[in-house]
Amino acid sequence: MTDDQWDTLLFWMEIWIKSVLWYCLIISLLSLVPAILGKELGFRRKYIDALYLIFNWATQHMIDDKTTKLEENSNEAPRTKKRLITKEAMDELTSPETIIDRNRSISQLGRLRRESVLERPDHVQIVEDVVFFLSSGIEAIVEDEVTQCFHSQQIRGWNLLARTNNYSFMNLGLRMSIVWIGGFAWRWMIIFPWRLVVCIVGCLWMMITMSIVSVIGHHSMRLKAAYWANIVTYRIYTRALGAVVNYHAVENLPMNGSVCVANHTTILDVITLSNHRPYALIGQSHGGALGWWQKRLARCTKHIWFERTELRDRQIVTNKLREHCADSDNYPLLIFPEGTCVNNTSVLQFKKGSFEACDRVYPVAIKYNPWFGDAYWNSSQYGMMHYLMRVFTSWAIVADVYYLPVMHRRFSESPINFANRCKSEIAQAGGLVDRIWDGQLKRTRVKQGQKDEIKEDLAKILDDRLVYKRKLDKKNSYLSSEEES
Amino acid sequence: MCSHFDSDEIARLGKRFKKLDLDNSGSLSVDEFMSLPELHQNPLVQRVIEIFDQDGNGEVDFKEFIEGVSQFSVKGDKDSKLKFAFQIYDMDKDGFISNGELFQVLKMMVGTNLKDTQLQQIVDKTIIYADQDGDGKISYTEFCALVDSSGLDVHKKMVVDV
Repeated sequence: MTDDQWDTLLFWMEIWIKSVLWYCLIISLLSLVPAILGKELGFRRKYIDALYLIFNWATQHMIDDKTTKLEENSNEAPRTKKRLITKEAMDELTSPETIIDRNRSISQLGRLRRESVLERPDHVQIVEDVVFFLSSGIEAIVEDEVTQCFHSQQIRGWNLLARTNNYSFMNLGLRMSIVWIGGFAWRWMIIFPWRLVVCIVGCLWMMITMSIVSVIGHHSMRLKAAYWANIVTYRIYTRALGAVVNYHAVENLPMNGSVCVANHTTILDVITLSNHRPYALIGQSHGGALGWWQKRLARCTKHIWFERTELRDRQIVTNKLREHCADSDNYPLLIFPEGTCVNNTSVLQFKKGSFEACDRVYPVAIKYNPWFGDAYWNSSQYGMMHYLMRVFTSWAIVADVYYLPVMHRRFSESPINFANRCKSEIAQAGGLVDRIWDGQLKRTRVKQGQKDEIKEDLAKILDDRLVYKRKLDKKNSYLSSEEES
Repeated sequence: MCSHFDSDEIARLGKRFKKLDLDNSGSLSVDEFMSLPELHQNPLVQRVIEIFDQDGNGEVDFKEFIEGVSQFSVKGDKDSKLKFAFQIYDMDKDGFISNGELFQVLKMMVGTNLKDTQLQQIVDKTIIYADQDGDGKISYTEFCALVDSSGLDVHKKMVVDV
């Protein structure tokens, strides 16, 4: 290579490096400054509004396509009427496709049967019981409600993300393909590097500020600094995710020295909530990237990380929880009692542990909008990095957070009942289906004990009926004997 | 294949079948059905699989799957639905529900949580009520009469959306 060529190469290299640096600087300023000030510039919300229009158009296009095809094929009347491009129409589309809450599900047996009439003759009841199990069995074969909770929910339309969301959307026209490619380029070539830079800025911010905070000697000053370091960190992360969160009923925001329970969809739940106020976290100590992150976090906030062996000892956990709540300097402890990520259509069984330790909890419901990106982390399918890649390259994360009034354990209420009460409140607020299934079923099979519960339940019902009949018989014979005398 | 489903529904059931077929063998074993927590808890699932499995090879292939589920379609007639319910009780497939068979089905549902004498009491009452010709067992016609007299509209309950 001649000197001239070297010069041009260096010249272009310099320009390239300079522009990359400028790019990073601008991005970090755009996200850092508003994050520090706690202000939103409103770009993300405008962006979401624009996406609404695009999705609506895309879905409309698909529906039109489908109906014309239908008409050509079978002269059938088009099933879907033309939609107007309004937000209302979009909201209608936003409702996820199938969240079945079947009252015939086997999990409803107890409730259903307790309502059943005792007077019914045995032969009728036998048939009814069998038909109940039969139908609920077939329903489960066609679509069961447990495994359904652990698969990403489907949407009624097309958000230009996966091409295989719905098999009828596979064949795109030319115009549609161009839009899709445009979206793909936008997500991978513009948004993704942008978010990556912001994310790195967030990590740097966290490391630096938290290291500084951890050496501040003055108590109240350290608390203030920690609060600030924490919340700015999460505000930056929120921007890295392109997340837009709407907080409802802010007056119920959890206070220090309390426990906050929420439904769990993804590890990003922590960021969604901490964007508003910092929380203390509880969990298992991890290795790898997550473990590194945990150690950083623990430097300036009192989080509770357990070793795997400690977690088995219920007493240690309970004591640590109590201890944490007793100090009003501690941030509210954020707990996900489901113990596993659920696809945000339902709330599964709450583990009673945290409800044993605390009599006062702040329930919070988190509902993600499935249109802009799939927030659900299917941890048995994807690793964390793979999942984060998916989030970074999706359109955005849009969430609604509903704070609920503080709940107290009632006198003589068992922790299990208290947990269930909180669960149903959260389900109702978030528009989720309240289910009794154990989240552990994501990975393990039903235990024998659970299987026998159903049988016991039914046996109890049959027994009640027998007792009732016997009483009735006695009453009748008494009446008839009285008549005779 | 005779079923009440249109092509869309068949496609959907096909997807479901593939999901249930964990080992991709083309047929569903009892174990694969049991991998669904809800079915695992259902005391009658064994009977349902036995009825689905028309050729008796212990597994349910796609044809049997569709034909089985099809009985529960909205378009399925009352007779085929009642026949299915009858088959649940008629374990030896001789066309009659014997005293012993009815007892076994009940036993399946409640396990050991109820005394045999209590169960027998329910069974005897039912047989006496339903048995019209006095042979001590329930024929399909007698079963239908029993269901009709109960006023339960059983066939309307045996409808599952696909």
